[in-house]
Amino acid sequence: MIEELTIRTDTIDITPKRIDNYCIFNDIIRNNIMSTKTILVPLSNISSYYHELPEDNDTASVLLFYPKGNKKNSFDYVPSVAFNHIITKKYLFINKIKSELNILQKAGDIEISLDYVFNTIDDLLIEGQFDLCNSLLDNIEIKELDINILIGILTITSEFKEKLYIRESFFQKVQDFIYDIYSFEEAEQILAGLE
Amino acid sequence: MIEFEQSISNLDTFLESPENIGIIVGKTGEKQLHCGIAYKYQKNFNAIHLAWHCSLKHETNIIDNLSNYIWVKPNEIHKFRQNSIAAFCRRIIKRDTEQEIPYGLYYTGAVFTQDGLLKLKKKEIGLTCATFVLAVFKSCQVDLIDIENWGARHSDKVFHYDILISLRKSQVKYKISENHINNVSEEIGCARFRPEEVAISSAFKNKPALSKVIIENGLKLREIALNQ
Repeated sequence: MIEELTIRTDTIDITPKRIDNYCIFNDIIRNNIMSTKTILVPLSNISSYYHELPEDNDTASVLLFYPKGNKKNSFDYVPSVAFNHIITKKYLFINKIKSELNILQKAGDIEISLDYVFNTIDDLLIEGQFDLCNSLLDNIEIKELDINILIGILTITSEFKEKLYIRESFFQKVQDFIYDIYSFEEAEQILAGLE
Repeated sequence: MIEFEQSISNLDTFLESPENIGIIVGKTGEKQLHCGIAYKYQKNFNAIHLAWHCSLKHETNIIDNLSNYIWVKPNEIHKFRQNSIAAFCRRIIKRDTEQEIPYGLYYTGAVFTQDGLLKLKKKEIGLTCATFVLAVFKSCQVDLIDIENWGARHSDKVFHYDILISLRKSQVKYKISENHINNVSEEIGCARFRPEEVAISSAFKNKPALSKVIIENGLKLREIALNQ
């Protein structure tokens, strides 16, 4: 059975990254399930977070898969309530970042807001928490944030385009937003090189 | 094209200007210039520059060390982007205790990773004050100079030999290894990005501007900076 230990949502300690064919992007899960077994989640609305799913995945809402013995292509699965908790924790973490950003933004100090963005997202990227970062980008309400912060996020994530697959759609949303507000020439100036 | 005169000011005008960043350039020897990046933080002056081998400096006072410096306005770098570049400079300073930036002549596009740490490219061994500035801007997706089409000039070698002498003279003080000096000596003759050229490159509307135009305007800036 999968060992489900205490769930951690902090990103300070880094567990050794396991790399195999079924390694998933969900860093929160990876950091919380202290097991050598692989976990895959074939749930349609969140499956995009994972890059490899078994073709014959079950239709159950949440499943945890793990390899049987040494055969990498053979899986057993167990429904898991704990997984829902993990996902909930993940969104709590994202909401905490969003909430902090809103507070800083309302305080009106762009420099401190930008420092928070750079430090928080950097820390996620350094620790390889790309899934969490993708989820953050996916959950940002573009129109709620100051453009300085949006540009800061695009700047700080630009070196990780390949791993942050949500960044492209995030950029599109920011681009649409900026083109709605500014002239074509100014919008080009704001976004130059960030795509 | 740039409006040259309007792009350059004495450094004491920086805080009053609407710009949030600027490239500073000033005299550091009889015929030698030095450059770095100035930025505002909490309405105060800040500057970051690579002073020498493993010697990244964060200045908060113009009078002490930068009194004869001028700065180039980053025309056409939008305020939003300027704020990100300033935040990136703060990030580099924050990580300064975790890294030492070596001095090196050959530059092919090293950047600071998003965690503020320098990531050298193959065959690069360090940065100069000028390539430090290029690397910071490049890290924020602003290419000031087309480095692939920047050729070596005969006069570059003269500077390179002077640097080698200076490295030897300061070898003990800055704990520069013999191996590093030997590596720098192997870079002699590579293309040099001069402080005045990097500084003026930020003033052009379309970046990167043509190398020839940057060099021409760099000479004009050099005259002004040396006579401050």
